[in-house]
Amino acid sequence: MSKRFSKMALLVVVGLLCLALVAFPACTSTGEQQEEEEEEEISIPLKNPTDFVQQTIGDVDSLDYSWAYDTASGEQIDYIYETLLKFDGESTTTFVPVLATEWEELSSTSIRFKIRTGVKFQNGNDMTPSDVEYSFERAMVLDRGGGPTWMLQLPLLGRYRTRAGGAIVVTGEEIDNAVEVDGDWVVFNFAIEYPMLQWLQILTQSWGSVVDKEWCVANGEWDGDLTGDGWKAFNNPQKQDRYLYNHAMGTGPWELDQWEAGEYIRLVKSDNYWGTPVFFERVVTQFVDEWTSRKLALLNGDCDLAYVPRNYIGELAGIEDLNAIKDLPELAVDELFFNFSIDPTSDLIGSGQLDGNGIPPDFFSDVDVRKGFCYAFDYDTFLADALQGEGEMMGNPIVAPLAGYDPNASKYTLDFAKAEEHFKAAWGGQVWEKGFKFTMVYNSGNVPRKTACDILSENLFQINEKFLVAVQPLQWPVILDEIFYYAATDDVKGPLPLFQIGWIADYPDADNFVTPFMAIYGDFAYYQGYGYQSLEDKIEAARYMAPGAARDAAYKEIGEIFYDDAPGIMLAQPLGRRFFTKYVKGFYFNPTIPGNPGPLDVMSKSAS
Amino acid sequence: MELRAYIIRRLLLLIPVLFGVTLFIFGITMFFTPGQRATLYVSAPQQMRDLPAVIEQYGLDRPFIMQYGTWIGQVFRGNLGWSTVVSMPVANAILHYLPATLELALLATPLIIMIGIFFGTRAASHKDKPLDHGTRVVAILGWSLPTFWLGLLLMMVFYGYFRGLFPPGRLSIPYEVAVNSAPFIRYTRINTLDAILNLNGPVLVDALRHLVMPVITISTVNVAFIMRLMRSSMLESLGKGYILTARAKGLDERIVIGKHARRNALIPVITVSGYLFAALAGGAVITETIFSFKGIGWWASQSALRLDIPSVLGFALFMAILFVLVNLVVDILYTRVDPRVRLGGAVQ
Repeated sequence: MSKRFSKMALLVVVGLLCLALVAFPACTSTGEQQEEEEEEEISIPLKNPTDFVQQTIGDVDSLDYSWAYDTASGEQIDYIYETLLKFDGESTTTFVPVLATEWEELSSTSIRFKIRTGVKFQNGNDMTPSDVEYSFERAMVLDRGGGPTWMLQLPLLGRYRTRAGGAIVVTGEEIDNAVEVDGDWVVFNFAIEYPMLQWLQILTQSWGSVVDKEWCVANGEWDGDLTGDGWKAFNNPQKQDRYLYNHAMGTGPWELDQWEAGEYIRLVKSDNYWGTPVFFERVVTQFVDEWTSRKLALLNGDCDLAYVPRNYIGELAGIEDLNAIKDLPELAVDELFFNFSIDPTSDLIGSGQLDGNGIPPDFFSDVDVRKGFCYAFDYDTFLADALQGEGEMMGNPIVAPLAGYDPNASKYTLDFAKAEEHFKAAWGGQVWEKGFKFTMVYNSGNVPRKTACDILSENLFQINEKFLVAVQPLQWPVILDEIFYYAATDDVKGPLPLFQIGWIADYPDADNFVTPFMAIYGDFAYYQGYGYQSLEDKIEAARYMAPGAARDAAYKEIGEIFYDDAPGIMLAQPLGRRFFTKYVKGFYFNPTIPGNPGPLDVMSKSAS
Repeated sequence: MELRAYIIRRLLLLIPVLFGVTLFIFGITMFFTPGQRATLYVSAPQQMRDLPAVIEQYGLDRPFIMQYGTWIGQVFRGNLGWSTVVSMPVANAILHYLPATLELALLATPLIIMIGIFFGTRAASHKDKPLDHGTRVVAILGWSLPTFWLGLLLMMVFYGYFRGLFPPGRLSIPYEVAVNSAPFIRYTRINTLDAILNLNGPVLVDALRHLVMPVITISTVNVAFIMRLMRSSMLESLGKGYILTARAKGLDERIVIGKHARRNALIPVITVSGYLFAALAGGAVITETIFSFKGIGWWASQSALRLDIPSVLGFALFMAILFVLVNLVVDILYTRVDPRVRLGGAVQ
């Protein structure tokens, strides 16, 4: 009897396990049948009719406008604070006044802004020109390490940072002179020649926000005094030492209600907003890591917008109550960079010689090697498989819709014949004859970057079986360390033969892409050993040109130089997507607006 | 040994334990270069030019002993450091996220123990009968089910199919506003408990709705374990001579099982239950992540992933203290359950 029951129990267990195996794929909802069922049945209810709720990943780093350099923080700051001007609708080149009513260039190194009257902060205090002056001076006084204020300091003080070698190297007087009040106007005095268009673009972003000086001083922030050395105590603070990191006082339509770190941040409509009344009473951002939870919240109407990772787009296909907005060109681009001068002690380059068992440190300094790699990459497959079509492959770093972007720019394509031709010419024919062997890395967990590495590795082997490239994952902090901190010098760079990394724009100008990718001391170019003086001269000349056809042509020429030099395999400009419920109205896309929801101040929600 | 002296002795042993744990973890973090540890503070390419300055600012390139000494010195002053991951002091982060985890643990642990003991007892007393086999199958299933799979399945059913019957998170938005506004007082930040203390029924109901899925998820695996342990222990107990004597005396079977056999069978279950609670109180990372029920487990995992060393050390301290205290409580309980055992390890 006991044995019989044991057998029955075993059968039951097996049966239940089989049931579970069948049930699991049905629950992952990627099949067409499930999509059809969802298309027929899913109706999203309208909840929280006067609130805007989004679910996304990550968290706010800081609400301090002078500290924050990430998108999540910038998004909230954008709702709470305002800047002197902002971009006009979808444009990235024309502006509309906000806290300034007009502006005029006084000289090539001076510009002034007339400050709007009748504007109140969320606590009821009147905004004055001295608040504007204070806001910018405070940003430069604090100048936290790794922060965004270099964009203010470079034109206003002539240097990226207020510190060098651990010591403060600017004076209070320099900061004071950089921003001055003149009646109803605030005057910015540059220490160097600086393109005015770029300055205006910089002022539209969160680091150009205006804060209430009186409120700041009352809460222990810097008191505005630049005489003596007292202000230096506020320089480069710890995030938690500043009141503004988790408190805010702006002129924007919403004020901070509550921020529970890692969970949510909630803003409420300000009763003192000076501008056109906004629709949403509350703006709630919930930080939800799990995709299924976000998806169900969207379909249940518990949120109006959810962050949808690329590989899950299919799960929301065909749902009529969702408004899927796609192909939004983001101001970002990825590249697979060649290291022109690899650290000889790197353990990723095998023997360190061109003997078939490694590569020499200067392997990629030969343009034929680089072009061979560029022709060996399958761009179409990468776009289709890794990015699921959500991107535009680029020929150079200048992305759409920036002035200087050329949709017809030269681009490499997969061409084994040309790759072979260049490899046979590389290093006097030795590359083709002896082959090479090294390891390339990608940041673990990043599927598109792994795909790019795999494509390149496999294609190189197909071209010549002596071309052996191993692919290895590394943690992101390790990769960053090995690119940027590995004691890179002017002559010797890091240990990675190739590295893959992306750039997100600080402001929508071609120079903000060309400089990091191509200048001698560019944020990327320096660490790969690219850049040379004649190119540097062209970059600098283009930077200071007035907007127009000549400037566009200059950047197109620089783009072609990038193609000819092939310092890396240019990958894609990503195309973003938004998934709103159908009730949300008024969205428009401007790539400079941080975060996903967009211009909430002009958006609304209704059943019709 | 007198109870008070025993407790003091055990608490004093906490000091070398904490020292050893933190030294060990600190030592492991030294395998990461200063540049790697600095990426906690700067991560975008635009920020990388400031990497050396950040390393210098946070002292990440100083010798191990100096960094550890600085940290220990701060700890003695009550400062566990700053949790960059959640932008608050580490001590505050522990106090902030612990209530969520405690809420799960306090609801799940009694459930696990009661169900496990009940069915374990029944299985033992009906050995080799259908009930015994049935509980075995359930235990195997429960133990085998991946937590993430079960959690997602529950969410798809109760939040998806039943359109929000049991939602993820801790509270719905209107109740989040309510608990953070007067007159509601957050005594403990355990929402169910605070709702009871504030006599707020709607908040209590909403909090309980959000607890159903995570509690079921973490209970399922652990019930299986307690059930099988209780069964084994009961079988051993039922085989003892005094049980035969009790039956021979004509005692009702319920009294034999419930009063005599089960009490002795509970001893190993008590031990395991203590560790179970400690483990749950340390956070169920997967459950907390899936259901957005962000507790200390979620915080600890994020801190580890992002190399937020002060947070990792703070969490290690917390867990070390927790396990030492739980061990102490279990050992004292042991003496109450088994009169033969004396404090200090002697058995009569």
